[in-house]
Amino acid sequence: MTIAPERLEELEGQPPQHGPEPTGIFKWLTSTDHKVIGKNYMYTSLVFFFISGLMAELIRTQLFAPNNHVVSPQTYNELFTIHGSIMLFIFAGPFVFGGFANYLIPLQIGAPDMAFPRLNALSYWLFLTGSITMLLGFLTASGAAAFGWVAYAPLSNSTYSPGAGPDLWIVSIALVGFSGIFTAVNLVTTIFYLRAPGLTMFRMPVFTWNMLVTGILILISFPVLTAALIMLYADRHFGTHIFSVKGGGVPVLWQNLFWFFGHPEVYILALPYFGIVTEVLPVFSKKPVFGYKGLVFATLAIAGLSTGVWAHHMFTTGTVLLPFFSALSLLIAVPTGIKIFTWIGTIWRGNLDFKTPLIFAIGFIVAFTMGGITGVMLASPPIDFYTHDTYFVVAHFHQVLFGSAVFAGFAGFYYWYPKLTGRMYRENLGKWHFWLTFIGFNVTFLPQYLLGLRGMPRRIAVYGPSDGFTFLNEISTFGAYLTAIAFVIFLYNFWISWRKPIPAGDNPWDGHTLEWATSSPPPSHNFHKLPPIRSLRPTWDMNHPEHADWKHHQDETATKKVNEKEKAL
Amino acid sequence: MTREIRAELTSHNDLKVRSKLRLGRLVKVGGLVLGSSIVLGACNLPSFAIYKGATTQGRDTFHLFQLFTIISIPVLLSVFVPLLWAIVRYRKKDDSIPKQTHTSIPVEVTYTVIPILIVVFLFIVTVQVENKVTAVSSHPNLRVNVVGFQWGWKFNYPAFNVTKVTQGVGGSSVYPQLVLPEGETTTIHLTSNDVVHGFYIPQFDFSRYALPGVNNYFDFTPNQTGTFIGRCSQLCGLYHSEMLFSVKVVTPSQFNTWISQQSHSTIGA
Amino acid sequence: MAQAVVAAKGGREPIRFNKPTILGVGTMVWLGSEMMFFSGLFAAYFTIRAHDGKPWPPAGIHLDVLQAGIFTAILVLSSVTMQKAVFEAEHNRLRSAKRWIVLTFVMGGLFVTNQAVEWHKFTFGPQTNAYGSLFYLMSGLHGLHVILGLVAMIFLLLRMSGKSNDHGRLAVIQSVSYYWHFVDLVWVALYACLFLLH
Ligand code: HEA
Ligand code: HEA
Ligand code: CUA
Ligand SMILES: [Cu+2]
Repeated sequence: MTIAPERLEELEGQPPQHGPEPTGIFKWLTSTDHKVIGKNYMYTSLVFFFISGLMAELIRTQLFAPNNHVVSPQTYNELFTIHGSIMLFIFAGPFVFGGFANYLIPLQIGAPDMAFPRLNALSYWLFLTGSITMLLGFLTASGAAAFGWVAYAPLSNSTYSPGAGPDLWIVSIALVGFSGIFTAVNLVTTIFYLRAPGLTMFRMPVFTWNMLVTGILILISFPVLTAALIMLYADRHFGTHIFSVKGGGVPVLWQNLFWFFGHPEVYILALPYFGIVTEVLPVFSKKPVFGYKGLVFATLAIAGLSTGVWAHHMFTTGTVLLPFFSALSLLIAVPTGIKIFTWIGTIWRGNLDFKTPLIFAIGFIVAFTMGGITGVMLASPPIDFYTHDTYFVVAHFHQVLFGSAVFAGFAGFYYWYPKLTGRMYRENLGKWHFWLTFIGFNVTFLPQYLLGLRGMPRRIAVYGPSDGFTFLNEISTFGAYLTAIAFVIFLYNFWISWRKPIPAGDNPWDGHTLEWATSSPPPSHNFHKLPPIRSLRPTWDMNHPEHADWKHHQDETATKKVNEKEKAL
Repeated sequence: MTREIRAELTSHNDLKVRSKLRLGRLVKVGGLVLGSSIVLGACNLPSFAIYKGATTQGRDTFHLFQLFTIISIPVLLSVFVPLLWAIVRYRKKDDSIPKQTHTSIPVEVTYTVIPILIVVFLFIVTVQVENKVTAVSSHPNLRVNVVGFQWGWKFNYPAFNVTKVTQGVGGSSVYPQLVLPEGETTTIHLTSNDVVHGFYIPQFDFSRYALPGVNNYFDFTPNQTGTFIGRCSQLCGLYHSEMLFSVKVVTPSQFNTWISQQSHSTIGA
Repeated sequence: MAQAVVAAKGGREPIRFNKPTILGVGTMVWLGSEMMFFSGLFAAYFTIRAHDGKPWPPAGIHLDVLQAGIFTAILVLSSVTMQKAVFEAEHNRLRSAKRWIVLTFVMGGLFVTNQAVEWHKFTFGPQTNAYGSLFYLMSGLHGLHVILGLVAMIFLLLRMSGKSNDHGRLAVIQSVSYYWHFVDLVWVALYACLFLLH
């Protein structure tokens, strides 16, 4: 199925190799090297994470006390809209799918670069333009978009949300969406096409698998959002009647289209992070992934199911088939549970080295399990009738999203930091970062479950002193401040390891996968020489011949079977 | 800012909620989450901070929610206990390489099949409760038309030609009150004039969207008297947070007295 | 994977890849996303139509089914000419391939021109009602795709006039043809929905 990279150019005339690299600032501006683009993505999205995090701090400050006037209701609505939009579209997605995936997929599959390096650069520039566009809304006279990240029609049409801010929001999401689609095309093609000799589908690291599935989910869901955005824009500017009652349009159509995108989107934001965790846990336990194939099939099952559950966000519209969407939503718990248990199986009887990446990965499991279980509650329509659009939901999705994008995201960041830079971060600062984040996060979001159950709706700028929400909100805000301190520590760690570098060596963690078989940071064309790929863990096999995976009897027969199957196809 | 309802509800709600909600609740729920085993007597299950539901429909929801919460405790423990065990027990001691286990079919089957069984069970109870909660009676005792608009509510009793509506918009609003008879079934017909609103009464354990162009119907059968706060739950623009109302449940005879005292209005809905 | 075997220079043996080229795979993957894009539009169409309940197109909308039909046929035929160009290129008959592409370009151009004429003629606009909105949005977005295809053909023709040992050329021709077939196929579905379905 695969071919040595050197032969590609000669065969296809489309060299996936980037040309000679300029240096300095031009390197960052013009590079088509997946490693440079990957880093650009990572740092850009991190900057936006901090911006959006500061907005969250403002939100929490406003909610600290009843009848508070830190910001006006209009500004408040803008803040959570842009906070949510940035976190989902500009941080959580691009951080991992533009950043980690770009950087690591070619390395993990032993390729010299992505399939289409220039398209890759275009993706990044679309992303950067879109991200800046998102912030521009604040500079317009009527302010940024203020209709929530879901932009429900008709609130989002030109009657109820006039001005340029909402238009900038639409354009921003469309640009970032295109960037995501192009990256997905690129990654999927890369994974299908550029795997090194011997790297069969069932020898792909789980991280690569998850990125493949995520890419497919993006290709399924984002174009639908693009179509919806175009129709919304037309409604706003060309007087069309797609989402307005007047003229024969259907407002709930927006909700259907949006959530057809929106639910796969939340898995687009989760699966890559699952991938990170599945790289970190085995390495720091010195064991292979437990139940690899089950894990792969669970990923596929999640992707399949996630395209059929969108209306669980619309239970209270009274317009959807409750049992169907409820059943599929509940079922998603099964493959997700498989993942959780395989992770526990992976660390079971391991030799756990509690470095920062590992504790972040475990923090992820804790947060995600709690958030997932409240997700299952929400999947039951009567319970959702009660909790819909309350802080119960806010708590649910922060537990899963923060769990994924922040805990797993930073697990990955610390894990691959030596790969990216050739330097080591400071272990004790990393641990401080973890514990403050973990405590701050739980103190912020656990009380929000209770707030939701006590009837506090989301997206309210003010509540009254007699509502009984004050105390829990105070705790929650306190937690948010704690989290902010944690990230200051992170920034300090980053800064100090930049100013006073400690060399890390090529393979500081005794890594398992191919990216650890080259130097840190890798040379421009990634590999001078590839180790033989005879199992899921080529680098481990190379460094631990006596414990090599391919010697593992059961695995070998399994691989043989797979090889035969692939040949037959 | 005058908030009539809030003032009215202060004595009723705040004291109770505050005292209960403080650390006591946190510790209680937190304790459960962390796995402190609480013996659950069949007739005296904890309410987990969930409202008990002041309607028969809401009461069903409450029981369902309670059930889900109870089931989630062992599920959480099935993750947290092994996790904690692994963290404590398999901490690195030396550089030895542990046994390279790749899989164990029985274990994999177990953690696939048991969740499937749980989920099937959850689905069955969900459908049962859902059918009760969404049932609309063909002969209700009372019908009320509810319209949401930016930013207020209109309650119209078509049989009596009585309409209550939010007056003013934003900070100085006077909020309307929906009066319902206890023990009788009221069918609410809900829609919206402009954008999407959420008709949400926390203590009824219920909410439903008011959607432009869509007519939604549902029943309330209140099972206790009292005054409850109602809110708009779906973001609807600038004064979304001020789109309040209240629900007063009275005995049927009180209801009849009340409705006959209302000035008739011709504003239909 | 891709052994770009048997490239008998100038001979009769066709150049064939026994596996799609990397560009071909990329194009296919991308067309998958394009399909979802149009699915979104079709979903809107059928939802609004079902909601309307009344016959479609609504009263007062007059369409020239025959005229549109003729140009639909032209667009479909242009798929055939495009494919012919690919065959010619595979047999390394570049000049002939170029001519077929020019013909395809003309046919595509005719289609777009007709669409512009129609738009001008219609008595209803995107503001008239939801049907009008959908009509203009769907046919317009499709029209943009046709135009994008025409632009691609211009670049393709330029590239085919370039150096003769251009190994990547065939892959590009194939990829443009995939795209063109896709655009045609979508139009057939659009024509059926917007013009024929009652
Ligand atoms: C990373 C993102 C992410 C993830 C992974 C999930 C995961 C899940 N979500 Fe969540 N969700 C969001 C992000 C996410 N969600 C967001 C952003 C919103 C709000 C959007 C908005 O309105 O703004 C939302 C809202 C939301 C709603 C709508 C709530 C409302 O608005 O009223 C619902 C309802 O069904 C729901 C359900 C679920 C379910 C069933 C899962 C499941 O996939 C969870 C599965 C995981 C587990 C169950 C835990 C592990 C499993 C086991 C230990 C096995 C055993 C378990 C059982 C047998 C129960 N989610
Ligand atoms: C990945 C997704 C993600 C993440 C990580 C977060 C993180 C946080 N969120 Fe967010 N949130 C959403 C996604 C996310 N959120 C979404 C989708 C919504 C819904 C929007 C909507 O309703 O439409 C939402 C809504 C939302 C609300 C509800 C608003 C409302 O409904 O009225 C609240 C309220 O508490 C909140 C709080 C927070 C807090 C306190 C954090 C914190 O944990 C943030 C932590 C980060 C930091 C603290 C960064 C600190 C920065 C520094 C330290 C920088 C130092 C500065 C320099 C060097 C310049 N969020
Ligand atoms: Cu009406 Cu919020
Ligand atoms: Cu969802």
